[in-house]
Amino acid sequence: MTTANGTKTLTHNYGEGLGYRSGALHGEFDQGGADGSCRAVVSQSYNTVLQPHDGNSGAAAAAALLYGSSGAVGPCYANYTFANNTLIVNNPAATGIEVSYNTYTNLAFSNNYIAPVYTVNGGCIYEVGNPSFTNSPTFYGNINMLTGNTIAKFGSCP
Amino acid sequence: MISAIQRGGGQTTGNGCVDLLVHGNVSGTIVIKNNRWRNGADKVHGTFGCGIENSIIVDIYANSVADSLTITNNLCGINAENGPAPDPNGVTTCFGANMTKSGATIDAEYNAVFVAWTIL
Repeated sequence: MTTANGTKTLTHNYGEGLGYRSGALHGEFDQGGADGSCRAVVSQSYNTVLQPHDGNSGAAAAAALLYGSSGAVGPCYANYTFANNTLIVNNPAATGIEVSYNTYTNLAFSNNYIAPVYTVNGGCIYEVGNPSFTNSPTFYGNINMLTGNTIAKFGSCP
Repeated sequence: MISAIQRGGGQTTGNGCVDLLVHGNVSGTIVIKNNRWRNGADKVHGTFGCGIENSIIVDIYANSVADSLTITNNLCGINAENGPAPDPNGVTTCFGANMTKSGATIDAEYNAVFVAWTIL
């Protein structure tokens, strides 16, 4: 969902995707963008995403379960917040939270919980497509529930 | 102000697909709430039909004058059981919106989305 330079709030939603494969049917919420004015304000909080494995699909393309992205180069955000989201990524293709392509100011990740069950290297917060940041993104209280490790920086996912 | 409130499913736009489309110069507030959708595989056509491929169940087209969009307490299910594999380039989503008015807001709360595919 796209708003050019307004406010977008996604909160207390539940998404579930079973049998994900290569670009369809995963339970993420938003790839919508903004314009280039750098005034858009986006918040994703208290959402839950479950990406179960159906037992037949096998490995598939990587699927982020929360996106901070429009999927295209150009959009710019004044504030972008991920807080208190829970991701259960029981699928070999699932990853975590993806930030990609766009320009961000005040990008913040706090108290997100990622449980990468039955994944190879999932359970991370990561960059794709060289996003740019006008100030340093902040990380606080994000936890990989499988390892118990704190996610305090961008990492790599398969 | 206009409130576009669709209850109990929505209109059928072809191939068994259930969609709610809002397009044109809708002004003011758009509210989508308390809906239950379920789109399934299109066995007649031997594909997923519009219920799966290229399906945006609620679609707010590019709109020059709407101030806000609120999507609350909806349940959206897309079930592709017993069908072929989804097209990797297809678009399957429940809520799509393009709010082009400067400062337009989008609020989505307490929605549930279920998508499923099982192999034949």
